[in-house]
Amino acid sequence: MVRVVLPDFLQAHTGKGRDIEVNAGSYAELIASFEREAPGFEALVSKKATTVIDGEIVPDPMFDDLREDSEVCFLPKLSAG
Amino acid sequence: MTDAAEFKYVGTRPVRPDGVDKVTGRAAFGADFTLPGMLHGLVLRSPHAHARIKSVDLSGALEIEGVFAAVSGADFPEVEDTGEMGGEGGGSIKDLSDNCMARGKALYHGHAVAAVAANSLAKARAALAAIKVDYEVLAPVMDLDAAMAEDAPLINEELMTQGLAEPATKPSNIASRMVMGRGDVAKGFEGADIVLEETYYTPTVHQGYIEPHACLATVNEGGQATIWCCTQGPFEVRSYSAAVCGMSIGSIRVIPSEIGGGFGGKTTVYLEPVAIMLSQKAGRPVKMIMSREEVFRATGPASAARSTIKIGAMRDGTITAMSARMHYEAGAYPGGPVPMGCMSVFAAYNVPNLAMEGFDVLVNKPKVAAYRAPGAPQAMFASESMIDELAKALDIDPIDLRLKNAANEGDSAPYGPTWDAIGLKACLEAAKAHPNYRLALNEGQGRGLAVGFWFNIGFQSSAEVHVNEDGTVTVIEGNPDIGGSRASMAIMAAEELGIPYENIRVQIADTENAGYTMVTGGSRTTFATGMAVVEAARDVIGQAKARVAKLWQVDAEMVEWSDGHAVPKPGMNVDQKPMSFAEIAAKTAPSGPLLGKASLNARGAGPGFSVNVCDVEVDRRTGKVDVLRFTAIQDAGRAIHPSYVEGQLQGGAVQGIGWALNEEYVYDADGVQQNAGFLDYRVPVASDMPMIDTVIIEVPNDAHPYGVRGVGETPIVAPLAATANAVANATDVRIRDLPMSPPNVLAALDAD
Repeated sequence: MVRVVLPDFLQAHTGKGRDIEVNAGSYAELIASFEREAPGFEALVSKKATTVIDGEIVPDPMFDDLREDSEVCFLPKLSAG
Repeated sequence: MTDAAEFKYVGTRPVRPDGVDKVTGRAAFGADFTLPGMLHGLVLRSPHAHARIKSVDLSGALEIEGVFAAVSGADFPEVEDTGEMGGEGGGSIKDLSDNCMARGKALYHGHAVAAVAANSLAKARAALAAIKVDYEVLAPVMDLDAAMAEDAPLINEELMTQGLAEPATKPSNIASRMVMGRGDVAKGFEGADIVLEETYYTPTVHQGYIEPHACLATVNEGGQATIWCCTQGPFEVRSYSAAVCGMSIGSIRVIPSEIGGGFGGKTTVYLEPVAIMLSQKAGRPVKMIMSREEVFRATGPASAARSTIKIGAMRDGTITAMSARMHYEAGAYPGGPVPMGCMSVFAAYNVPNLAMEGFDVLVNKPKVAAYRAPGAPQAMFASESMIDELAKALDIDPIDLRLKNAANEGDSAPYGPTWDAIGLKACLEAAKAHPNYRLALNEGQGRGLAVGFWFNIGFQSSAEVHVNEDGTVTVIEGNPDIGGSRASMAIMAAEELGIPYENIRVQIADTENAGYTMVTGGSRTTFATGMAVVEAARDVIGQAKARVAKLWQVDAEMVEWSDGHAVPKPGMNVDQKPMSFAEIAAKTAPSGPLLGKASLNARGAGPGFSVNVCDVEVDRRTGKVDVLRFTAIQDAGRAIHPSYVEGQLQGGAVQGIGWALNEEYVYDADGVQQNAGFLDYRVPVASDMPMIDTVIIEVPNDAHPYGVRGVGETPIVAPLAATANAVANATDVRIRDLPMSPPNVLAALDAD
């Protein structure tokens, strides 16, 4: 199972807690799974989140495969100077 | 990733290619461009910090001979409140547009309400004086307490707080609330031997870049616009100006000038859309240059912030729980750096129970803009001061306390991800071993230490590598060079191509001559654009090898690249001499130019940690703090050009020391800044500072071909607390509100 960490606004949107586990072989599957349960999830991620997969900030995650022990963290969108 | 021992150019310190032009005055900055028929644009700014704009009458200005155009908010297209700013800043495009030219309300003293273009500055000034604006003056809210008071005047009457446990039922000045954490902090505090709780404050400060904002815009009869400007992000200027002016992105070309500092403050737009609108109306080019006063009054400062930190620990120093409640000023529109504050405040420590809560609060000040590691200096001033207070309460060496709790590879960051290799412990060990940490101190002197952290980012970059017919190389990239990136790009290209650094020239292209490249910011340029340069170099090497293979009539894989030459693969039965770029270019010219390209979305930017050690002397009669020594230690992954890494560490240290000791916006009761100039807004100058000692730690980032981590932002994070901790050590008096300016220090000493 893929470990997923949700920030507060995605917890509120999905009704789930901070740390959850999801069965997904790819990032696209993972997003589709959330989207089925909580429509609007993908748009919210796109607008407000930065995605970190296995410790790396990933700007273009949609084509990433996930391992059984992968970790996907959605952070509040990062800005910098 | 290539082994360090194999490098020929990476890690060397050649002279920067843009250096001579910059010290001789030949380099062209934002205000240096002119065009035939050019007009001078000026902005009329609100004299009130908070006022309803009842009407704007431009007719008086337009009657003046030599005045070609005048605009107010009514001339700008309405922007839907849906788009989010990309790039570096927070907030919406609608707010960005309103910040460029007020509509409905002026939200801070200095907010643009109209603009003119005339054939002389004198006429432009006369035109501003002839504009009539009818204001209904409203009470301003100038700090966090005033903004959050129950009966506070509302800056945005429709703003409902986002992120509350229950939906907000009435508008307020609190734009949003964010919560994060893990474990059970109540339980963690309950089980602790000692619990401390204190509140810390950092004031509004400006990025303080030397070069004021400036641009020249021209729009032709076909609606095609060209902008010359000083910016960290020409592609962002293009997309933001297009959105604000209702134009297509493809109709705007942005040509970046050299840039005299930005530090995050030049990642957005203020003048450029205004200059486009004026040029459209006037049918002539329009040049606009901000005065220093305008820069202070109308461009993004960094948030003031107040943070309450609670910490629980065992007697041996093991931290059991930490919590932070942080309020950040957003300025006049939502979008303060709350998320980064919440994520960075405890990033350095591996603690099971954490709770972070942040609030984004509107005040009648300019909309905040990014400033190196936005949100982190404020947050870590609080947390690193508290760690120092804990070390003193437990009588444990501050480095040992940090080492005991420091985050390490495999630990979970407070905001979720598992840390990969990070250099925090290496930085702490280096600080402990540094001779400066063991130097004896005299009476009245003190030593302080603090940790800094920043995420660093990658994202989109493009690069081209052109091989010229004589074998020299031109690298084309789209990031304005702020901290020496031309040199870093040339070094990486030299390393890949195997040709001398001096044979490579790096050009910063405009938005029509380079592929999309995200802003120079986020500590991303050497990492992400460097990665693009490396890929483009490898691309051109591949092409060169393929051509040589045809010449030699062998398969492509039988040709290798070594020391700037195509060479036969060892063991290959062919009698051929190595061929240089010049020879390949000459012999294969009919096949077309040798041109390598790369366009990528860089992932895996490694986070940066730092440790700063500061020695101060405090004059108890005047309250003046002198910095005696300052040691900046930071993990750079791998330093491509160590001198420019050291420059980043030194520059960040000085800016952080300025934030700690002197810098702050001072307002009167009407919300008018009283120190909008460098005489009264005191940034450190060379004579204030000792030599900043630097130590570069190299824990390579596997995601980059040479192991690079960004280094531009982390250096400003630790100096605030390091300096405050040094003052506390020198005086035995803890100052929790910055700046520690002479009157504030004196007041604290007197109160003790």
